[in-house]
Amino acid sequence: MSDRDVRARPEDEDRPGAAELDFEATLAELEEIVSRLDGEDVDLDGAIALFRKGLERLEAANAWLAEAEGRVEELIETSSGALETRPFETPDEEG
Amino acid sequence: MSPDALPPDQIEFFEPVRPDGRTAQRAISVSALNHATQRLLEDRVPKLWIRGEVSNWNAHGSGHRYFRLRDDDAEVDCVMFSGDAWRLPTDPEDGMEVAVFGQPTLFAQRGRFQVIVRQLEAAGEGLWRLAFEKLRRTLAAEGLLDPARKRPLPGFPRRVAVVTSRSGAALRDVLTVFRRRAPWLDVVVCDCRVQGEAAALDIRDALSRAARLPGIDAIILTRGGGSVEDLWCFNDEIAVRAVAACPIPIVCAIGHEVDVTLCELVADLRAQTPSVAAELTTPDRDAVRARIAGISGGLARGLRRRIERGRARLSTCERILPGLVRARLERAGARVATAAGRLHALSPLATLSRGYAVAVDDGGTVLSRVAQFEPGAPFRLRVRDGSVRATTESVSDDDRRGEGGAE
Repeated sequence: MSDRDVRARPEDEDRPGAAELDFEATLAELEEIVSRLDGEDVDLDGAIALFRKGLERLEAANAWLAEAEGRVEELIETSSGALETRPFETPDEEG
Repeated sequence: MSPDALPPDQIEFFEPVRPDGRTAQRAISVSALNHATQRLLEDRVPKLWIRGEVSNWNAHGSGHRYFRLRDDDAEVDCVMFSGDAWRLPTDPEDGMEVAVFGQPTLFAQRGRFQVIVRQLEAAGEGLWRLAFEKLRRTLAAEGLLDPARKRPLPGFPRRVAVVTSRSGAALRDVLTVFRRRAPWLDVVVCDCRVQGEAAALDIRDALSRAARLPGIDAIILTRGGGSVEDLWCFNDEIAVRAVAACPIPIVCAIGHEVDVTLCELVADLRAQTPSVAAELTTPDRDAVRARIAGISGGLARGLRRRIERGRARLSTCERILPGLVRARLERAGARVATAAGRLHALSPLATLSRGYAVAVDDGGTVLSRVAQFEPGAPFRLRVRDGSVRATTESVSDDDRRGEGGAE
């Protein structure tokens, strides 16, 4: 997998597996692979290489989908006006 | 209260007195009269609803509103202080039928009878409607309701800000939908008040904080159901303009389906409820899985088709190749025959066979001129069936024909 498929975000550094898949770009790339595979200008070797690359991306996308877990945070403005996020704790029910 | 004011129980207000010099000694001051009357009115007449037509409406710079309420036969001065008047969605127009809730009293300083109005309602939702329509027209004139302004939401947002009350049911609904549909989503809650006097400013500030946060793909502005008055801050010009100016695609869901606020009209997308707003913002996990399955099938089909195309080409080759080779061989045979014929016609052997001889030197060069013959030098004569060694005896030009010859 090439570097451009992986997008690390600075705020993810505290999480294990900090590198994250750019899931939507991966799906778009996969769809591009399928459409090239359907085209006339790919020779057989090229088609097999595309297929291999597609399988690899599919696997990555499926793994991401099964494991990715988002965070719920709350945005706080400090007294100095800076913005901070901290984990959101569900408040007591108010109905 | 002025120093002339007396506690009401010391004023024998309703005691009938004869107007004579003796009772004149007991005269009270104007202030005492007015204050006592004010007290009397406020003690004996409760706050109540009064209906009538608005006239002489005057919005003072202090935020207080002064006006008169009248019917065909009577009118009364009214004042609504700023602490209550802020709640008005807009100022009523003169001639509007309204009901006011307030305290009839005497404005002691001027001795003027008036109603201190705490609440003012136009018939039906008249005033809300009026305010809504006024601002809606302004927004429309500025093009802020133009459908062409609506931006598409990102197809696959990774980080969404939710601007709402952190303790409200709306947030709970939104988070529940996100967890179910898009567990990968990062959510940032931006708390703000969603009703009351300061809510519009709060909404504006929370939106601006959310927009300053890096990596936010979409914003949801939402709150659950409530009265028209509760939801009013979402029709407040400050909040509405903040939504219209939001640099990030924004979905707005305020109250129930029947409630339409101006914030929703200027947002990129309006949702009927908070849950629907969350649904419209994220793709469903099952839909994403289906998309991946589609891609997976497409890959396999693509490769299979590609292989089948190759196989078809190969079998075409197999079928036409023998024919091509045969034709090629036949063409080559014909060319060889032609070339052989021409070669034979041109060959010196044909000439030799008719009795001619060719003189060549040892290197094989054809000797066709007398200058090439050195007297005494050896050469060879090619004849039909071999060659003859010879020596030049002498040479002569054409005019001396017969003097030389080969032996």
